Amino acid sequence: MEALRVIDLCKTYITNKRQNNVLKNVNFTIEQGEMTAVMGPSGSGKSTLLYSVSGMDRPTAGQVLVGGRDITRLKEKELAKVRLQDMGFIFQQMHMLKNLTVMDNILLPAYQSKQKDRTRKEIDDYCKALMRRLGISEIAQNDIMEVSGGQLQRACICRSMINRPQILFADEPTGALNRGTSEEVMQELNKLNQDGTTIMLVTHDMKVAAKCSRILYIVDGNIKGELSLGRLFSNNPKEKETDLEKVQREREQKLNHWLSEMGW
Amino acid sequence: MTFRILKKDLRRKKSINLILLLFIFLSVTFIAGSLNNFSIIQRGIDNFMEQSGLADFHIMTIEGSLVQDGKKNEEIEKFLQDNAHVTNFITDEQLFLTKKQTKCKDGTHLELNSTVILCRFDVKSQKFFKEDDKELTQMENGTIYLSKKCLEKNDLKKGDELTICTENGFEKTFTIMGDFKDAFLGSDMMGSERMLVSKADYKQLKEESGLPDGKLYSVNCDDLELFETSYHNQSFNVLFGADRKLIKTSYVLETVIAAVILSVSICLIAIALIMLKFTIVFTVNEDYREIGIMKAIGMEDSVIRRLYTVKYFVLALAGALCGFAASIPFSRFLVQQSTEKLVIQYRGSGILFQFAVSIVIAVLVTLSGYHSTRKIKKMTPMDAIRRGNNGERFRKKGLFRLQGSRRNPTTFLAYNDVMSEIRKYLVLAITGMLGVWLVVMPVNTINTLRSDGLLEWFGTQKCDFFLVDEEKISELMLSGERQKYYDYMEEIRQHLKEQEIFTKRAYTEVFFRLKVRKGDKSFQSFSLQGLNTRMEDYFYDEGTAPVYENEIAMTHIVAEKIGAGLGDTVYVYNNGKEEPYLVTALYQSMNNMGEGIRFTEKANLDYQAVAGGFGIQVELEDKQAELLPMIDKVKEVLPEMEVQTVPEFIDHMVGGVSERLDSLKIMILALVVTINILVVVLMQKMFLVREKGEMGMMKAIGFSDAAIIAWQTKRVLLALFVGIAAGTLTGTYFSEFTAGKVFQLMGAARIVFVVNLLEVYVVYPLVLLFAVAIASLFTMQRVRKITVQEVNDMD
Repeated sequence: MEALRVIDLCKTYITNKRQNNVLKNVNFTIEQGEMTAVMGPSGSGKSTLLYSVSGMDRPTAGQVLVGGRDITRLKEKELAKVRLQDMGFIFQQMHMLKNLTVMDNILLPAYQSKQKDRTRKEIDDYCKALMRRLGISEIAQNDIMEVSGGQLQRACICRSMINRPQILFADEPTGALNRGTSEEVMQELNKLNQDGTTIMLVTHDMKVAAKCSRILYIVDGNIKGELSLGRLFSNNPKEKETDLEKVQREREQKLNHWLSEMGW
Repeated sequence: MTFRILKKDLRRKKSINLILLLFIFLSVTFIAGSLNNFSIIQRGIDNFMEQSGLADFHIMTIEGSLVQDGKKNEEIEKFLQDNAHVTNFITDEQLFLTKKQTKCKDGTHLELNSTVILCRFDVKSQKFFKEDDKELTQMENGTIYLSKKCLEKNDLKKGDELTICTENGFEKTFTIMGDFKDAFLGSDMMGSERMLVSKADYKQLKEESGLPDGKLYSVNCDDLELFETSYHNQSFNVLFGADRKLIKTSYVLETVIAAVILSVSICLIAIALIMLKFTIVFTVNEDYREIGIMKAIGMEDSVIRRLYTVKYFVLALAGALCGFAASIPFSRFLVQQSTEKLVIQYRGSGILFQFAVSIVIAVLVTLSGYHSTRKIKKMTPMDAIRRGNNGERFRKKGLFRLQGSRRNPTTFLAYNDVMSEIRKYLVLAITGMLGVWLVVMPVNTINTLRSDGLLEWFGTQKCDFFLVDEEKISELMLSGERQKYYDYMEEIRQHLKEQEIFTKRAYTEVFFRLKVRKGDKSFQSFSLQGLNTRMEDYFYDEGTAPVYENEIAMTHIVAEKIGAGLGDTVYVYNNGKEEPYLVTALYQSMNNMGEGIRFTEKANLDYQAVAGGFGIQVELEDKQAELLPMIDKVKEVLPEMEVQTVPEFIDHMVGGVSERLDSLKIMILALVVTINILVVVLMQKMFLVREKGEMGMMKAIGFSDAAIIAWQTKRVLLALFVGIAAGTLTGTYFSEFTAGKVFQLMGAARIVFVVNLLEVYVVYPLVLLFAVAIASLFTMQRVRKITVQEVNDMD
């Protein structure tokens, strides 16, 4: 089942009367439960693509179907509702409101979404469960200045998940983190993906991309190629026992080879 | 380089700089204009009296039965001649005219507040001035000058005709030459008005009209205090006897209006300075990168601070120069409004003063700006590297928790932001509070001036309306019989009853000028006796209402003058002898600048010595009936009488000040709304710059534009609401502190302000909040243009 379908997506910026076609007729599909990484050189249009398909920015032309619904035709208010209820977004920087505690920052979109099927108490419980799952329960009542970057990024992931979105977008989610913390954050994203959340992320980091099931390579606003690595985790318990590090190394090598072919 | 940085900075924060400029401009315009106005009025009153040649002390008498058992004019003259402290005195003659003795071209009588004093334009005691401030040196026969208030009230103009006709058949028509300026009787608070005619016309009027005449003694002394003591030791029954200081005090209302505008201006400059500080601190925090880099390349603190100060100096100078230019016509307008009754010598010379004030404000703003940049000293190159953070990981947390809160998230965010960063929003709260104070003060004053309650302060009891017939009052005065007052009141009641207007009571106040003494201290005091009144219905500060014929109440001012207190026996000169009276109560009054003695109805006062009286007060039987239609009916039934409502009576007593305050109220409200809007727009613009990242992030997590606008607007409104609420709760104290002083000058030291709850607590706060909400919503529309990508601007 398609979680996201992008049809002939174009994005053009006009600066100083000069037309800059950043995305040129981009087409791709992401299936439900997939974890897709978008890679490409700087200025290739990765972030523009992510912002355009996530409804953060309006494309110049084309269609973006989220769960079969074309979000390019939605009004700003409807789009905000889609972002609130159907999508989650993780930024490179761990942006949060400074007058709120970590937990309140996570709760904010849930309280705003006015969901009829959940009471605030249920939302609070769900939030606590999410935080527990991502290992940040102890910082719930902390100020955002009192926690580490890794903890904060995990809190951002919790926030993006609080409304149980269909799809999660991430723009360089580990870009501001050190190697160890990056690993931890990616593990959490993988776990979410394993639980059925569709994820699309933009990254420069081969180690991060190698944890995804599929890689799209974008150059000059076009998808130049794509690589399927398969799921890092499977439902087979035996496979879970295999040496993860070894699997990861193999995936990275494969990705490295493919990227070289793409001209990375 | 400074110029380049300045140019770039001015362009970058165009609207913020523009609003600051506007603030400085408004502050300079108002403060320079109103200070000049205030100074001109202050100097103008003294100058006007000086130019008019007003004497140190004035005694006014009326011939006839008034001065009978008291000492006669000759005795006054003898006293003046013999008094060692009198350097010289001048005697002028005057005639007294009532409205029924006047006739306009259409046959109607002039609308007059009181008896008119008719005199020659070339009296010896004082000079009169024309509208253009030139001295009135000649008048043609058959012409007449009226006071400005008389012309305005009767819609008369130069060239119109006025006829004086008396009971003995005398009739003479005059051509009105316009208005004139009169230092002695020109202020709104002076009860009497004057008309000027030529020498020959006066002679004819005196000889043929039969109008009552009187004298005005203008006395100059070498020691006024000693003269006054000896004067008050006498027992002259005169119409008026007061010093120049009292005449000057009667111009207090001219000063009040100027003082109100000056207070507004001071609040305005205070707000401008607070805003400036807020903006500078904000800008410095915003520019941590630039400042850090400047420090990294070796620029000294003082150089960096100078860069910022230059910008605010340029803004201050530009604002001050524009403000100075605007203050010239503004000041002229104010001076013109306030000095219609005065002769101003320095009308044009205020420009230099205004320029000096403008420069002082520019310097003040610059210094305040420089002071506010001191945070730069604390910034280090590391700030540029650490994105404005100093590495400190701990800071004050938000005060409230969203978790478990039942509030709407935007309301919660607004509430939490304001409460967690109170200092940031304090400026808004202060502006709101000052705004409310400025609006509430004239509103409370106007409502107090228009309330029934103020009647007490004029020595009268509450009533439904007043019936004024100057002619009848004069007739009663001249009759010298108390019974005639009772008969007249009964006659009115019967007449109204015949027309099915049922009255409960008709009563009046008769006043005297009597000498009161305790020990060696004595004073000629304005004194009152109520007829058909109940002593316990009057207002007393201390003691109990006088009951017996030998008991009196007196004002604190009179008590102080003769050194009397509760329980003391004082002596009142009455019926040609001194009679002992026991002081049982003390009270306050706005009559005659706080003078007053109140006698019981049982006291046998000498009605041959009556000095005047208020109109007849009427209390209706049916309290439920609508008053205004009833008053209209009374007007139909008694067409020859002037029917005054209580507010009209009070307005007459205080010289139309409520009307002037009313027009000022609208101006102040408009200014307050403008200031609040400017402050809100300025702050919102700055928040838009600083919180662009947060707003982008909120959009990204699914907040709609409307929700973000609601968050920002609620925040501003909450801060403003706190200020407005504080202002509303304390506004009445502010009124007491400011306008209360004016009432104090008029004799009411402890006035209780009448607060119109709906107006003060609901209407004006809501007007302010509504205006600010609209401005905020309008400004925050910019949120719609903020994109998610701006999340990268987030610190």
